[in-house]
Amino acid sequence: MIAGARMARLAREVKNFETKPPWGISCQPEKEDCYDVLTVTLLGPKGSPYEKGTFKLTINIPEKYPFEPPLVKFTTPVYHPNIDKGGRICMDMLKMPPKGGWLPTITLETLLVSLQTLLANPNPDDPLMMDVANEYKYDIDTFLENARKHTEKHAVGTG
Amino acid sequence: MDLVEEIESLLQNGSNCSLPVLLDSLKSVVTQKICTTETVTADLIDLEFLEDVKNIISYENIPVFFGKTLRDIKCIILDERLREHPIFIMYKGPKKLIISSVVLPHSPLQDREYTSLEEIITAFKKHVDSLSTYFHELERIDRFCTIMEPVEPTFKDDYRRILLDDRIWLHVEVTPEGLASNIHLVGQSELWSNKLQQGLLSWDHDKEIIENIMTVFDLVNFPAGSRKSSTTTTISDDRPMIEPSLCGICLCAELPESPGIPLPLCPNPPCGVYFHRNCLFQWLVACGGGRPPPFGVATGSCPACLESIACCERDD
Repeated sequence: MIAGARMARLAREVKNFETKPPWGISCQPEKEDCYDVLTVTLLGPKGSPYEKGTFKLTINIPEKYPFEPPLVKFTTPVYHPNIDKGGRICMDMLKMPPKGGWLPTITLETLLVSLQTLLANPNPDDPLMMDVANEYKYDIDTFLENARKHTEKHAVGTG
Repeated sequence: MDLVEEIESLLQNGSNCSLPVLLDSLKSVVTQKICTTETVTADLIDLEFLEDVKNIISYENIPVFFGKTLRDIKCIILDERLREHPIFIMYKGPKKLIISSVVLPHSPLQDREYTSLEEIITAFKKHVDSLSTYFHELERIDRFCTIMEPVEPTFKDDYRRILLDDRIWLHVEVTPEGLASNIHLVGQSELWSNKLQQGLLSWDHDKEIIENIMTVFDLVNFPAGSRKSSTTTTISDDRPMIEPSLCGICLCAELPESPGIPLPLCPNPPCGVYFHRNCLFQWLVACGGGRPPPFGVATGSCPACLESIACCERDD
């Protein structure tokens, strides 16, 4: 039964991104009609050092989705306390309970909007990048400057 | 003119004469022109069957319709209250008729072969007459209650899930004799289940099911569907049709592989999220490490409101 529910739900979710996309987010299957891998374009949130950037992500949908969280990764480099050099994201929502906070009621839309929020509001107490987290905590001006430069270099005008 | 051409022209020009007339002329053509052995004629056109159809239409006054081929037949039987009961019949060969479907609960009458239409009609007339209380009870329920499941109730479905309030439905099965059975609540509420427990003791089988339900739950009338108006559409007879809510997990209403529609399974009153029993069960099992839970009851927290929740693998 999983296969049918998974397909039906993903088809609906992807369609929703087309019909009423949330601000600055687009999400499409990598290959048409195959929902195993999705590609996402995410605009940096306004008022954050990422605001001029366009970030690419890939989402791998596990076999057991939505009973397991999707695997989300940035392919565009991001300078952020909770995102490492390989694009891995440290976010509670992306992990299975009891450690994490994934729920099958979370949609890809909720997830990506939360990710946008995470960009604007880093969580330095649960860091993936220690030095960046410390910079954010104790020298916010340098952090903002570095994040802006990094965004300019990797996420602006790269299409 | 050879036989095939003659029959073809008859069929083409036959659209403006009635079925009995057409069958009559077909019969005369066939009897005049075909004089081979009986087995061969039987394979081409079954005269006895044509006679049978004619009899049913003209003497029994029962409408007969043909489907895609002349082997697919539909008859409509009227009961004493003039309810229409369609029977779909398949012609398998000479003196070999089977019932392909009826809009009635399954009965042994559907599992056998019949030699003539007349035999089928006689058997089903009797059957339909014996179900008159069953029809009456279901009709009363459908008329006064908001039916959550089946989505489009017919006499084929011998159960109804009735809306009591936003979160609680009453499941009732109706026996062929028109008695209520397997009465239980869908959803969790102490208030309603206390009423049901006490009320079941004084259930009066001499009264209508609908009356009993009203007494048990102390209702003057049944709540109408209170869903968002956007999901309420009106069908031709002006009865509001309620579309099932979506499951909070698979985001679908009906899934092809798993029966049932999303139910209000969370006992926490403010949480209005519906789930397919199967979806919720799978999630609770996945959270518990994937092992099958003891006694088939998975526990954990509601994926929508995080309050504790339990879910059986199977309905009731």
